[in-house]
Amino acid sequence: MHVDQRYLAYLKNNDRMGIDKIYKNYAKKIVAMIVYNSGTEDDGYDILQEALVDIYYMVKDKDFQLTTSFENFLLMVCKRKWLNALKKKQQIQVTKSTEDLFHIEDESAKEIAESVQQVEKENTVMQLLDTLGERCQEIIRRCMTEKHQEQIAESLGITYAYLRKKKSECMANLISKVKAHPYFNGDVDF
Amino acid sequence: MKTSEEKIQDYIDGLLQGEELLAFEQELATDLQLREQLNLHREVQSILARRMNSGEDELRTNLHEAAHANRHSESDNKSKSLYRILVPILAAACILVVIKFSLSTSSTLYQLPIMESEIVRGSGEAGKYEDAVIYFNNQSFSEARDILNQLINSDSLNVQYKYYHALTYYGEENWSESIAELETIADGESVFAREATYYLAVAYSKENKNEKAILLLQQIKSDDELGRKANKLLKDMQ
Repeated sequence: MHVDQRYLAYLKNNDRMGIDKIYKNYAKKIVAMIVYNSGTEDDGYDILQEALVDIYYMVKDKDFQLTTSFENFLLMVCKRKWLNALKKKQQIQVTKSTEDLFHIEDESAKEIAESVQQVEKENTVMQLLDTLGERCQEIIRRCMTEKHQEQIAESLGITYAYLRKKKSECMANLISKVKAHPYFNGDVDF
Repeated sequence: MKTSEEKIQDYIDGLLQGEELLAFEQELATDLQLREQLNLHREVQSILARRMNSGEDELRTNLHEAAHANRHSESDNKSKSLYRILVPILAAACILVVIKFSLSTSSTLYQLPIMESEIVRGSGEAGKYEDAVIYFNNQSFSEARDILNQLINSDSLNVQYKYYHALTYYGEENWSESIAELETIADGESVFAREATYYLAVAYSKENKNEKAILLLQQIKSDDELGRKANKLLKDMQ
């Protein structure tokens, strides 16, 4: 087990003191990297937070084993997120020297990339959910988090049959958006 | 009649039963597109279930607090570093300001110089000179002048004696006498000429002869402490 595996455990267990250590040890470097690549300090902290949430999802339900240092791993995730953010903003490209800095030689890069890719797909689904109407979002969220759909229908003031129909429609709407998204239709090279 | 989407949703939720279930499974076996649609539904639903029961909100709360604490700490460190740099600079600046102020206030501009203790010539005269220094620096100008008179009588070419002799009148605010003696020294080429010019200008200003004072002050080049004093006095007068 890699000595830095503990950092993953801090996130997995939402350990406040451990999270403080992560920020203390790595925030400065991550923020510097973002600032060096056309970002601001606020961008740096935003990217770091989103990267840590991504890593949390990578390790939450899996036995994710770190094969490189946590710093390398975190830098890779942050870099990827920042590149995506820059693409969205259509800003300047990241400098080559920084590309070289974060290049990881070993095989772990592939495994990490796959995990990051999965988390990004999940993020995309959640972002697309937010684009649905409020009623649809509520129905989907409640159906996913509450066991008894009859009670959900009752609290919403609709029949159970209508709830089923609406849930189906809302999910169909979401699925169509997911299918049209480049992350799912193969237009994006991860 | 249920739509395809409704059937998929019911199938995933385990609500299809009997003939309806059999028919759907037969359709799945032959319809690739339906299978792909079902798989995508499952994947998305799995993601939603995973994300909506994740504890992400609690994690974000801790991340936000940690980030805030870290930024605050970084900011403090920067401030401390800045203080470490700035405090000595500010202290030095304060000292310089105080020194400058002490050298440039109106009272110091008119202040007499300290008469330096030194052996001028010969043991007997040196003893007298040292007495004059004591009297002069204690502002006992009359006594200092008496001794300096004796020294001038024994060495009439010594400009240093004459310079401090003139300043004894200055110390007594006897401007006319000090002007009379300082003019000669200021016009000469001794090492006391510039100092004499300065105190002569001050004496003129005390006599309200500002034009003469200004002309004299303008002669003193501002490349040393005396020059800076002269400049300051000049600005005050103008």
